[in-house]
Amino acid sequence: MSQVNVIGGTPSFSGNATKLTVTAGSLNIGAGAAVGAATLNGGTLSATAGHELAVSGVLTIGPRMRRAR
Amino acid sequence: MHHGGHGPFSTTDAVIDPTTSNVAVAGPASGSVAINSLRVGGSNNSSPTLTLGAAAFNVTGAVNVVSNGTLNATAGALVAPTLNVSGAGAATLGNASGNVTTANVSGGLLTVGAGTVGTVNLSGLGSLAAVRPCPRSTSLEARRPSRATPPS
Repeated sequence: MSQVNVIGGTPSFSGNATKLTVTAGSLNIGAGAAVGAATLNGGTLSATAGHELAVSGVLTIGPRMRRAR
Repeated sequence: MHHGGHGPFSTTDAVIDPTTSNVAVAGPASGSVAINSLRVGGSNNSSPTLTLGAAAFNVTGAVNVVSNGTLNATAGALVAPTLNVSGAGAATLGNASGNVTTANVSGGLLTVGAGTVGTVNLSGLGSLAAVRPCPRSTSLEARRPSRATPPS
């Protein structure tokens, strides 16, 4: 799985993906959810007890900021 | 379904509707089956299942698994640009030669056990389960805030 986009609603995700992007909605984390990189630009993440999202690379929260000159 | 000589099998759109019971499409042991589009429907009272056999099923259009329809593509490889899963539909991809460019899951469940799926768009009540090896390490790296305003 190269890219998983969460664009709305209340979907669920378990398993592995290279990259996860959440822009809207509420993603429910299921068992064994693991991604290489995750970007949260909107929406929410929720996990049931005992489940977690493993991020092996970079976790980006919020829009990317521009460096001040 | 028509066999076009030495080329792949060819057919028109394939629709598995609520009035159809479970269907298994074996296909050739090797080679490919070409389909324009594929739809596995369903209803509150009917849950048709389409099982693909050992062949490469090349769908040039969209594959739609809707309502209570079920698509099993574990023995055979599903190759399609678009896979849409909605309602209480269920699609299982489990062939290493399978390749779906974009999967839209607005309801139901998409399970990816093997094969390639480029992008999955999750919305509504859609669920995605992907069975792959886990990343080795887990780390968390947060981005630093901007330095636009120096501390006073």
